[in-house]
Amino acid sequence: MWNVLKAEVSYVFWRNLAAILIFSLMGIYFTESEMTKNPKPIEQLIKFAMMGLIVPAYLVKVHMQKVEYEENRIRQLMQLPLTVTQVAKTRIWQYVLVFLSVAPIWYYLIGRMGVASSWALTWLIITLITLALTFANIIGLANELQYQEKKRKVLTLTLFWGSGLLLVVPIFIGLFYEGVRNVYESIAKLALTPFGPIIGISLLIGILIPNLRVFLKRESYVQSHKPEISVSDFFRTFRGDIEYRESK
Amino acid sequence: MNTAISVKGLIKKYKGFTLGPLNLDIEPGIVVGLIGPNGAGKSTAINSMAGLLRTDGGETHINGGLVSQREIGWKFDLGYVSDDPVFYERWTGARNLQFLAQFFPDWSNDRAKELARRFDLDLDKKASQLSKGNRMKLYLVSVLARSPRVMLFDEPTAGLDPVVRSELLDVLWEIMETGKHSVLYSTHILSDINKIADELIFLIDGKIALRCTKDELLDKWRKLSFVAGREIENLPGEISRKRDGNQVMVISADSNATVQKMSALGVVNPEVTPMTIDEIAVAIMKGGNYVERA
Repeated sequence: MWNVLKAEVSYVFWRNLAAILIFSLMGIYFTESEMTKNPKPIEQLIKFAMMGLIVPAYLVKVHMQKVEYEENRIRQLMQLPLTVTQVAKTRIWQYVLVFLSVAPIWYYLIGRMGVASSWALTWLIITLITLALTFANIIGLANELQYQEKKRKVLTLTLFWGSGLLLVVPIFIGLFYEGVRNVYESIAKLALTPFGPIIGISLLIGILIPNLRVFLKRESYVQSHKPEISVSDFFRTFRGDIEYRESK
Repeated sequence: MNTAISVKGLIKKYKGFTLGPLNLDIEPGIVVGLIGPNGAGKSTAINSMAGLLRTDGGETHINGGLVSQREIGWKFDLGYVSDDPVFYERWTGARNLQFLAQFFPDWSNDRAKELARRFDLDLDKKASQLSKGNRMKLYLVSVLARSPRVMLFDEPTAGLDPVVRSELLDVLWEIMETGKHSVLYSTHILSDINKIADELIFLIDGKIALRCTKDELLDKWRKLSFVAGREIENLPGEISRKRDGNQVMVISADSNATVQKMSALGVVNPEVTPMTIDEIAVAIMKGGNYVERA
């Protein structure tokens, strides 16, 4: 399993990390620059294009590739002498590593607040959603490569468009409605109080579990019996003591 | 010695289609061709046996090891090749092979290099830069380099040019000569089957319609043409019959029995023509009545 993780780190980790770092640095720039504080119309347009269109489009593109990448990678790993648990663990840990490695930057962005705080929070939410969907996707695929081809395509498209909308919509809403932006900022300010970690964890659980449930339910429907990886199994993978139930 | 592949009561259900229950034993040292029309369940059967599909019933043993998601021992003995190779796209072929090599103790770098040379495959190119045919070659090298005891091939020559296809079949032939390996080989290209298969399985609508040796099939199946002024009863082994005026053409799965009965009915000197694997396969898949008669 470590061989796979090592390969993944060298193959994809630095690339993902680089992309996230670039966007984070852009976030810092927009947080700190004079352009953000007192923008001219042309600068406002550039900001709109960068933050409202290019960044979300890139994130959607990355996510779309990720869904396909996951599907292919898991299909390959399932042919290696690895159990399905090891395959899922490998995939999940990779994303946990990426997330943890950028956590300080998120912390910095949220800490800076200011005009662009809504972006910081939005991006944090985006990351969490993407992470949650990716986990759900990994579990589902590792557990059930055997989706009927058509159903798998529907699933992939649902994940793509669903997560794509989740990525883009909050950003656009925040762009056009000051009221919404104020809500973002109020929430973001809360993150600096002792409530911050509680909100963060709630967000994580609130996004992760429903996604997993939907995913597992869908699989359950397709297979008409209990999936081999349940939600509790999923969390047990982090402790490394998962035991598999046989297919009923 | 263990049975190479042992399948017992294997069932996989999809909406509107059920594979099985399949019961199948494949002994070491033979190549079995899996033939069937599109949608017959060939890929489903192979993917189920390879542990890539969760089945709705039954079990598969590879070289004695139960195919299960909890155990991995059986994976060392199994080589699986589909028509959809997956690699780390930005890595070269050599690096992809290096990655796979660490999982398999029986991996031979020399063998991988030799196969790549025979397939005329440039291992220094990134996987993303390889053509469909070359990707398939890399996939084949990655499986054959570890000489698994059991190989499941699902349309492995799809997209390959005739030269590479022929090279692959030659390599397979050499591997099979050791008598230690077994292959279940699904394809639409019947000339491939004709070249390497010892036995044939015809899968129709998710069920095994016929399993027999290739030689038996080629020995027994014949086209019989004769003149008959009157209608004659169904003949033993008869698969299909066409009549054009007094001229009758019968396809028989047991030509000796058919000819014997024809003599008894007064039909003498029929023209008996041997059939190719292609013709036999078409007759079985087209008619489907063989399923009922078999």
